Amino acid sequence: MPTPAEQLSGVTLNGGWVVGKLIPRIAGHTGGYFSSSYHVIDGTGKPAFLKAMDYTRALSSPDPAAALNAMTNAYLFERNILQECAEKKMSRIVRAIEAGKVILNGTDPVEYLIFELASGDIRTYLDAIATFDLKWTLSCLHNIFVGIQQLNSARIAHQDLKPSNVLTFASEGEKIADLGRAWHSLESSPHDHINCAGDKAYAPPELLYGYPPADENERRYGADFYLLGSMVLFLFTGMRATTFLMNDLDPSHYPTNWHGSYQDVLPYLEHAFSENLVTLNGSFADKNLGKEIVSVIGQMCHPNIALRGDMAHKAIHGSRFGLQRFISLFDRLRLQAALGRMKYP
Amino acid sequence: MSLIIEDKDRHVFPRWRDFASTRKLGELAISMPETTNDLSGLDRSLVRGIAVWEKDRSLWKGLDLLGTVVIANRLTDFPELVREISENPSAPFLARKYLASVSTTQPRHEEKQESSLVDEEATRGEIRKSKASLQSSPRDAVEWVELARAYTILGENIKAGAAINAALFLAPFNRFVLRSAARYFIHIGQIDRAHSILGGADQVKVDPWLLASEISVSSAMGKTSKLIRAGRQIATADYRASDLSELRCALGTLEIESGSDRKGKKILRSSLDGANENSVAQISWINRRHLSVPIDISDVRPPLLHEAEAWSAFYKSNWDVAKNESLLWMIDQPFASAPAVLSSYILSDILAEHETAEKILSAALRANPDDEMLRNNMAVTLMDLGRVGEAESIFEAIPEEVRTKPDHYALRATQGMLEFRKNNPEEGRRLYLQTIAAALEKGVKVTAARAAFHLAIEEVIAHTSEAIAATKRLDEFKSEAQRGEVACLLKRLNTEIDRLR
Repeated sequence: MPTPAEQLSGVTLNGGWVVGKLIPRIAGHTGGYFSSSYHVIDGTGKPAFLKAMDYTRALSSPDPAAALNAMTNAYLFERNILQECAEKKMSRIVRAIEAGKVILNGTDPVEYLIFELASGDIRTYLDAIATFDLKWTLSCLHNIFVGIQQLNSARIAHQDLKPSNVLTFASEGEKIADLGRAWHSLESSPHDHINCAGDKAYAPPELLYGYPPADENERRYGADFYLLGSMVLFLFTGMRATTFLMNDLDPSHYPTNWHGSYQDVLPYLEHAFSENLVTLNGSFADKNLGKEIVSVIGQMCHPNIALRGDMAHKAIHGSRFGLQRFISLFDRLRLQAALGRMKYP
Repeated sequence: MSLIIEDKDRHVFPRWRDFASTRKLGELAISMPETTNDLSGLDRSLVRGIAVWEKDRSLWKGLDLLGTVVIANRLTDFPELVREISENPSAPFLARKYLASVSTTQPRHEEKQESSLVDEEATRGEIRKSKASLQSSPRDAVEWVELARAYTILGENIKAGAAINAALFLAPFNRFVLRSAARYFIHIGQIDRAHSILGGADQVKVDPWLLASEISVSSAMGKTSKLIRAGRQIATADYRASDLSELRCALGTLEIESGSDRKGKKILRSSLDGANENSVAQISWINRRHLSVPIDISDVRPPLLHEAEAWSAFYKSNWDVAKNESLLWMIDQPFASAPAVLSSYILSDILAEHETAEKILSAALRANPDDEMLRNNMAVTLMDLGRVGEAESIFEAIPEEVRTKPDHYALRATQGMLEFRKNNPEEGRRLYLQTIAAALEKGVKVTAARAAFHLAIEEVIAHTSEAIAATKRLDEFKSEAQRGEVACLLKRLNTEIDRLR
């Protein structure tokens, strides 16, 4: 039997939003709470995306009260962060247009968030263009880096950056979505205590192997750094950073097979990483571009968290997780690509 | 005379191979779970990725799923995904290259080419590659070890030591680094340092590979390891058998050497379960040196079993196999002197392949320039090649106090050969006869026999009036002439006599 959150089709919400068809849920959906998704349109015919919280699913959990509490907290956390992003005019974060509540059948409350509607995520875009577009790639990376910098500047770490969370907009370029697994230095979230809040399949190696750094900045911003580097690799090579790392790793050292400490496996990861940087460098016909990209990956995806980061930024600002230098780099590179001075592959 | 072979002491010292070979042999895994890592999130991610890809089997959604599949170590479960990406010309080059590399069945270990032994330039190339890699990744401890190994092969021990120290500084807890460093310090004669590195490592009490090395190094130093009790506990713990083999072998050796043959054999037999070649070579040596009823190792065939095979073939007088296996042993451990000593003996003294022996000895002397046995064997080989001047200078570089030691029969005999080749047969004869007498006095009749045969060969080559007497003297050694290597000398003597006729 459909839950209240699954019965919103045709309902008109506050603000004149009319709810369209339910978007089928993807298997294996994770998050702080269960939700149902819809396309909606406002009175002017402008489309948007709606995420409705499915509180009734909490009732089927072993501890309904605790589940309900967790879902409510997760929803409130995401809503508050989105509100802060909107107030701080974070242009590279997908904007929540509205948050509200509707009562269905007179008794069933459904809370929802309405977001600006994207044309798809970057994978959809890449499939559509079919051939590699260096100018677009560099521009896209610039936008992603700006998005994470906007969050980090507000002391928020995204923690779950991955291709499906980078949405494309026809007129505004790329924006980052899904702050459901974020960390806020000033506000606790229901997933703060989890070793790896984001998707484990994209996680930095220290979290994948189960060893979160004790230092909160290293753990949160260090993860964002890794995930950003991973996006760079994905766009250039089709491989994410950890896949890239495993390219030259013995199977006994894979996260699924390793049962020792992170300290013990780290020398092997560092060696594989350094070998693969050499491979990566060799794959660039344009040596200048290769040198820049390899340098970015070397700083952002180092398996040793103590060696990850922008050391030049640290010397000036005290923290090595500053993104400004990388943003300037991608800005410069995209300009050079636009002028035809760089090429890839 | 005479080339030297030595089959005296042996310990379960760690092998020092390059990183790729070591990991392929499975010697860098952790078999005893220290921690549990919750990876259930990977399964959820995989389910989601599959659902997305099945709905839209596009290239980039496939690539995204591929990442999760690889990290979840499930690549073999997704042949269609691999095929679709591999065959898609729009797929990025590195992703296709990666899939091509994982789709090809890789041999678990690869034998290196024999030519790599004498190819100094190839080793220089490895050094250049390591240095370039370290320039961009200076904290890569494994690469520092690789650099140290290449320098050690070339005998550049100061540079090797600096590289080993860098690796130890960066990863003082890592098994590969610690065992490689220990082997390096054993190689340069600083066994105390090897012991302090192993004994001082935090992991030594729980890592069977480090325990095996520490116990063996202690034994080589004539000490009783303080970790024997910990070793005995670990040796019966729930580790993978292959992780315990060297440890059991080290403990079994101690028992045998202390006279507890029954107990020792029991432990050594247990070490054959999952044994690597080092354990088998150790048991093979114990069989030769200590046991009247040997332990059966015929069914154990681990990769790179060259040392044990070389000695086994040597004692069966199977010279071609002994030659090939000793060369492969040297390729496996190119910095070590022991394989070069054996192979040069077989090549030069038995098979008279002096040119090959010279190449082998040149390579070994790069890594071991002061090794008296290698110098001796090189001097003999050069004399057989007619290069007496070079032989003399290489032989005389052995310190005089070493050359004149009473029990160094071979060195004295080589001095005798040198005198013969320098047209001083009287002095040469005197030295040979002195060697024969000293060896007989000490009861090493086979050495005396070899010296007697070499003397006869030299007398024949020099056309001296003593040639017949020297040949007659060989009647004293009829029983030794049945031994493979002495029988070969008899053959050589007959060849020289035929040539004279």
